[in-house]
Amino acid sequence: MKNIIYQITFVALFAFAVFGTFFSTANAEIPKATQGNAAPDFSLTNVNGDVVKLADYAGKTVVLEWTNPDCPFVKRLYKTNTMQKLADKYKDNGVVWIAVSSTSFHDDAKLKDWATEQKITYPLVNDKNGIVGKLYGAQTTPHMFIIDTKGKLAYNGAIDNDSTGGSEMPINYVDQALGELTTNKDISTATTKPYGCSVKYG
Amino acid sequence: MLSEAEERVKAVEKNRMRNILSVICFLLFSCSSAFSINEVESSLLVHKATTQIDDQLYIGINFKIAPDWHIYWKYPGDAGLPTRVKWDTPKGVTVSELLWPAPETFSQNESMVGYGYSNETVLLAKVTIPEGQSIGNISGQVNWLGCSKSLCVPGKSTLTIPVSDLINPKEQNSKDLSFWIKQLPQAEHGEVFTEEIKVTRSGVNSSANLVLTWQIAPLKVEWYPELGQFLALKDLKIINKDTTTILAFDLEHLSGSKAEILNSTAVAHFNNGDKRSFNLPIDLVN
Repeated sequence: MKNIIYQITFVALFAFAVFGTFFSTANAEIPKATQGNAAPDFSLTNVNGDVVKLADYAGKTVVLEWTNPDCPFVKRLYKTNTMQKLADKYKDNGVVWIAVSSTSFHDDAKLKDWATEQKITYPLVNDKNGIVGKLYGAQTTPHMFIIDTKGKLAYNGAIDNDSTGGSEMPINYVDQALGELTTNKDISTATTKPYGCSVKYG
Repeated sequence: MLSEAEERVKAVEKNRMRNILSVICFLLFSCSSAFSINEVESSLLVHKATTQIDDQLYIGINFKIAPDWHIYWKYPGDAGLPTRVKWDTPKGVTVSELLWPAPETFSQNESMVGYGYSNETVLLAKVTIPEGQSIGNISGQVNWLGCSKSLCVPGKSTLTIPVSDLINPKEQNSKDLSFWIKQLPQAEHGEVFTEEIKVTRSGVNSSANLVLTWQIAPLKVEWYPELGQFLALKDLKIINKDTTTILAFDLEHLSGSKAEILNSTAVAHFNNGDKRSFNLPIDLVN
């Protein structure tokens, strides 16, 4: 009996050492997202359990939207359908929209309910351990990233210049950048400071 | 030796005590939960207060903030939202923009800082009332974002005070605000410190080096920049030694931002417990 316990303990320790080393090494080797450089690939599951892999969208413009259903900024932007309308506006131009939740305490069920409630048609993926969020340097919800057709990070920042939602003539930076990208122009505003709630990493 | 009956009675009593204790524990737990939820929900209490200092009428919005929660300064830092107020005044009466006491820094997550207030603060405004005017109300629609480590909750309130109460303050809505007025950053600092500012720009980055020389050595110096949406702060170092404080940092001008001035607030803590704050605008061009 004692022998069996020793053997199980040994196997568990060995597995922990091997996989622990593998994961920490693997994470350390992934370069972080930087403006103008290749956007790091990731693979996450959406709220329906399907795998969403960035590499599968190679050649397309991809918008990554960091989100959190509890955040008042996100709530306001979804109430005004800002995200949904924008995703819809560029859908036919081959723009892929992916919402990412890096909130450590939100499970798939919570996110799925919210996605249904908000009639979200694009994938909402769960990054509750925050690995992808930290890889991209997502700071706030919302925090927007645009990856161009060459797979490079083309925009990093706020959704717009209207953090209070009170501006009469807000500039939507993501709309502006997608408009420019889809007409083969240079992005006029490629980086801004994102605003919102801090990402609730664990 | 206890008889069987006595033992049964003791057991019943023991059970009853246990049940009573359970109920007490349950009630205590329920009360404390409800209290903490209420505390969080109603943590940002606003009350109105007026006082006259140096012939100037001040109106103040008093925020009481639950433990572990905070509201935000005019520049919230890496996340958050400034507290806002929209005044409605009778004809002829004016209320200034909000005057912000020096904020404090808090961590928003492992790499992000926030600037704001915890526990209690008073945001101030100066009021002018024309001679002979005493009717009508001043109303403020106040909006704030309260955040803890895991949650942000927006809050709002509408506060009203009769103009006549500003002229003749009443006990129930007046309070000595001099403590909070003293917390406002001062525009003049020549008698407290002198500064040398050197900013060099290279492409999209600026490097700034500020040397503050104090009349009296401060214990600690804090610095709060109003960065806006197109300036990113990097590598901030504050070195405090005797009567000299060196503030060194890099700025990234996002999307080719041509920001010329960086407004900021320097806060000095002195040996005698005094805390003084000063406006410190930084010219990024010269």
